[in-house]
Amino acid sequence: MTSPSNGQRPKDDQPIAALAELRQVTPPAALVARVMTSVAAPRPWTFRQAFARLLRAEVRLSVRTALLLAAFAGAGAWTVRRPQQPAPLAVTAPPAAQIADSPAPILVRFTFEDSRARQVFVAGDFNDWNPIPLDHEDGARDSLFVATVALPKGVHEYMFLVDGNWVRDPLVSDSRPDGFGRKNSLLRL
Amino acid sequence: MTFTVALNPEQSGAYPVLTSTGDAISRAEEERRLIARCAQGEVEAFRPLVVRYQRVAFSVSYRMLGSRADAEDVAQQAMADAFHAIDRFRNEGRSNAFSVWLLRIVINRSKDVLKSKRWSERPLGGEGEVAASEAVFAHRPMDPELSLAGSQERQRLEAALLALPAKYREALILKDVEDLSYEEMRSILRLPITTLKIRVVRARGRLRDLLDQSEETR
Repeated sequence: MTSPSNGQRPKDDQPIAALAELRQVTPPAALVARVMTSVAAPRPWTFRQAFARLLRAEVRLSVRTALLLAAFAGAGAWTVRRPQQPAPLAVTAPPAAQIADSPAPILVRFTFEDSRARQVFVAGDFNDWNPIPLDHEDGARDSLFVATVALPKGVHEYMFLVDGNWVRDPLVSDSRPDGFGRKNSLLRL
Repeated sequence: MTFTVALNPEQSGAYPVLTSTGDAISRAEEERRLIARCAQGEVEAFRPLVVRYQRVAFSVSYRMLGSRADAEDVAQQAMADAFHAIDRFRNEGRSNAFSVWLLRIVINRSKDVLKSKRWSERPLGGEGEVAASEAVFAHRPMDPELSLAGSQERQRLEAALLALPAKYREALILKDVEDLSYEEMRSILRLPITTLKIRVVRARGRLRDLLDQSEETR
């Protein structure tokens, strides 16, 4: 025991022994009922409980259900991993009905494909035959050259300039003589 | 087999007490089975454990807080916490493992209440002192002649205990009121036994000082 600080404190253990009497406490009569009520009340799951229950869960599947799930999983995986389709190799033009009523310039996408070509340009009466470069599109093949140009409504003549040589659009059959013994491709908007 | 059975166990807090060693083993085994049933989600299996340990849970929280209402709340919440976390309880072959585990929850809950109300710094004789009516109600002495002097001494003791800092109060409650071993206290308070012994000695000294002061002021 500790020594008295003022010299007057009783040195016996009587107060300490009397602490044992404080043990005689009667709990409230309703305590058991309160506890049982709170225990019986539904309780939202904690994350830990939900995770533990998930680990303990048994999954029983029939063969047919398992095959269906496998088929869905395979289809999903094929959809995710399927490579993107390349852009169509054609001059993309809006439908004629839309064009006829459209007062604004129309965006036309020129495409040219040649695996041996290094530089491709497009030129026509819409830009006074000043060549516009075609570029490779992201994700597309290296042989594909693309350019999008805003054109006014009407009929336009144009040609591709491939590595210094004038070439007609191979995908467009409509053409018009250029007056020098050759023909230009024709685009009607 | 000897039983001490109160007429209404839920009212008195009593529960069949098994006295012989074999009965103690039976009691531990019965407790283990009840806990296993609780872990399976069987709510009614928890009732015997609540009846058995409601006194100690309420007593400890009451001595920590000095208020019957708060002690009842803490005891109820602690026992509900114990039920909901009973799948984490590990007996590990120790005696009184469940009561020790429950008391740890009770002590922690009581400390939370003390922190929220900042009662630990209340002076002796202040509002934190146990009310005389509550103290008499808690004691219920059988001999009327002894009740007057006894209840006054008891009130002084209760007030002095409540005036101690919480860390000393919990040590005295567990050691001198509930008569737990230092090993059990170590499991409850998660402190080294040496620290606990020092704390108990200092707490007893502080309690004597407080009692002397209250004697001088009478």
